[in-house]
Amino acid sequence: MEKPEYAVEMKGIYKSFEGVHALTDVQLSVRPGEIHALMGENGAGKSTLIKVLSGAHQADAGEIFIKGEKVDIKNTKDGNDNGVSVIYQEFALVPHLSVAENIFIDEFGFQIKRINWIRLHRRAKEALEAVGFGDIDPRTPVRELSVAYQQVVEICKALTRNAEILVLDEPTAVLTNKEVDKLFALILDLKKSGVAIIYISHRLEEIFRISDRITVFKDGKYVDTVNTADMQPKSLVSMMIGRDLASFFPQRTESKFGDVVLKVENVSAGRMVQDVSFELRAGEVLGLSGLVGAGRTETIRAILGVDKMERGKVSLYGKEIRLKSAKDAFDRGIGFLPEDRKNQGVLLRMPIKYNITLSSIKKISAFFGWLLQKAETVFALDMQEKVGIKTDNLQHNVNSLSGGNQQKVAIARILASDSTILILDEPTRGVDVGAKMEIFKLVNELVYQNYAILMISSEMIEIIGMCDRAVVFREGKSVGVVNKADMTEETLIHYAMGI
Amino acid sequence: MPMLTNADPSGSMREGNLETSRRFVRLLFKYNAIVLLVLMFIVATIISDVFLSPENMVNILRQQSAFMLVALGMLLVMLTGGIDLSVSSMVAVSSIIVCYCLKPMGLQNQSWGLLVSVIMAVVFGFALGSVNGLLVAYLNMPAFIVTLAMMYAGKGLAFIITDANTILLDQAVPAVSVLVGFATGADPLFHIPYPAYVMFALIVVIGLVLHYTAFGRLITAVGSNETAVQLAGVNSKKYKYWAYAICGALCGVAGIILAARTGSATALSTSVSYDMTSIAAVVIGGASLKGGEGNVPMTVVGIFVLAIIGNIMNLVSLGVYPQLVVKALIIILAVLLKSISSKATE
Repeated sequence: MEKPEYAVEMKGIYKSFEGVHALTDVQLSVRPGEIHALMGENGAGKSTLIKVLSGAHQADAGEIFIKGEKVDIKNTKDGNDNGVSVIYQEFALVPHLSVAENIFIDEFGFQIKRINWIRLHRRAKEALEAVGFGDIDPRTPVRELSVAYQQVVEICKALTRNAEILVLDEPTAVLTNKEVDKLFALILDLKKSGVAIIYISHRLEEIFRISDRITVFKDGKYVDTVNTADMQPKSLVSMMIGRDLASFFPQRTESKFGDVVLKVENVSAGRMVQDVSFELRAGEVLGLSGLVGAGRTETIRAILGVDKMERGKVSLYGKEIRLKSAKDAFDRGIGFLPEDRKNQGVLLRMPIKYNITLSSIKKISAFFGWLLQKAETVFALDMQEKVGIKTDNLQHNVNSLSGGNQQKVAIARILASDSTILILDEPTRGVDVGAKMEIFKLVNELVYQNYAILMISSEMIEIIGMCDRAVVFREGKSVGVVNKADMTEETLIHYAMGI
Repeated sequence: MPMLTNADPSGSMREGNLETSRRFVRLLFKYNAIVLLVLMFIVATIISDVFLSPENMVNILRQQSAFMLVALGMLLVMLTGGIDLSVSSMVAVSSIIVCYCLKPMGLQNQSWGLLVSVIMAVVFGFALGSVNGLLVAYLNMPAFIVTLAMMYAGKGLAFIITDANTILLDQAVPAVSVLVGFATGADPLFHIPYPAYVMFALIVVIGLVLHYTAFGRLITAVGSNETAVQLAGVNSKKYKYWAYAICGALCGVAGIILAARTGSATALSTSVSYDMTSIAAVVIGGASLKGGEGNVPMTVVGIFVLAIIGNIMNLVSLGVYPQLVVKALIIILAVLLKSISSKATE
């Protein structure tokens, strides 16, 4: 029998979530002994494709071939059985168990059998030595290892399950340069032994250093697969971007910028936020752009005082302030829309009306907090009309609404609180295209009414379409401000990736 | 073909009936406590001639007053998504405080002594509840552990204050006879015991606060999703704290009723099942253990479901131990219905 050319072949993969197309007719083929990089912007579909391969998601349509044989991967166990191992950014290790226990964790079944520790530790040692990390003691609890070593343990775990297809999702994000070198040596070793490696990274430099071929995605669609040796970084970037935006975003009447309302200087907080500065003016939409994990949400949380701000200065209308909580922010007219709508933005199991008035409950209360029910209804109806929530009954619970309408409820809540500075964190995430348009229109209207809007978005197209200026984040720092006139995907990527 | 056209209207009619019956079943699940209460009432009336007698009814009211107050406090705490295991201890300590103030401290001989003793009991309950609230809300400790510890602390406190003896009040003293008269007496017109009036008043007050004020709204919201409420600019900790503090104060009032009924106080009453009964009543009333769901009227129903079960079993002279098993079964049944109904609505 002829040896199949590809270790993995995926053809015509479709996947959508609640009507949003994540993958449309996507393909991928990886040879054994090849390091194959996946590239694309945030939300281009790389992670979704990997989840389909590993069995975490099921494709709506499409075929997967492993070593030339068609397979049906229904769950992650099927994925494992077919030799697919994915190493995510957040490791699936049990921190207080030892290295050996973690490597062989799926051998511990529900049975009463004496564990041969000496043998287990010997096998773990052998596995570690095989990848050139014999210095790791199999008896050490995983939590005591550095992140890089934890990654090695993950890789060992995958290899002992005879993984022939290894997926690494942003493996270097948390590593030092020295650790990266060691990891790359290991990956090249694995390549020699015939493992097919799928490598996801935002760092172009790494991709050029290590990969054999690159597959590029854009907006959930397959663009091309190319040999790395034939490519230049610039030409790769232009493959990732380039679309017609103008038609998608609603037109805005030229707004006049007012004074600076919020000024952030040299803010640092934890590992994710290191030296961030920007200014927000009344009557403008300021975008916070950057790759996922660049520290945008964390910056906002530090400014609001939800997380601790270690260094830096925040001024509101020229006066230095230090916010202690979201309540503090709302009291000063700063409204915050969290990125995780279902867990942080709305109360799903409570009525729409109560959600709308949650941040402004004082307005509808009389003595001793007695609620003025009629006033509340009038107020809520008013806000409903303003943001256009589609429902015939404000008494219904929020979870009866579509994602877009839930998001509008959250926006209505912020507007009801009389905030004039609005911080919107991924306002269109998980929202269908129609509702996206309506949210954008609303944002335009608000800017026209002289609100100051800070919008975080991982989709560059949104930043370009909506924002007057954009601050670009890279690895916890604000690395550049781009004005509307210069705003193209090239410039944003230039700052976001540092090329 | 004609068969098909004939079948169509009847089919849609059947579908309509199905929809109505489905809605009915859903309502039945949601308000299963009311169905349970009516059922219990009918069964009790059939089983025993005595059940419907005014004396028995008055008796039920008298017995349930203290339990009801504790259940109201428990409802507040459970709405925030917490639990209070220390209620029995708080009730017992408060009842001991009343008697301790009156007799060993000698306040029974002062004209204002009774008033001070009673207030002291509520203050003590409030203080213990406040400790729970501070630890849970501001130090982010798990309610289960905090209130479990408070349960033991309260027990210890009760034995320390009483020196493990019963404080028996002398009913010849005017202040004591007023106190005991309050619990054992009834209004001359309807013969409803006075503690029942306290119970009714607090049901109304807590009901109004919970369903018609910002405070009540936010307590429920905090239980529904604390992170979201915090990010919406609400000081969620404050509301959590007050739920425990008010629960403590209500236990204080329950403690006064307990002391008044017997004219005595003992540390052994830390073992009365106020905790189990109140948690069961709140859950039978449809509240969610995760918080954010539950209301006063259904909690009242929950208490009376348990009360009537207990009453029937007493009337048919069922032994004390079998009674525990039957009560447990009823609680399991109610929670089972709740989990089925919440699955159905999802």
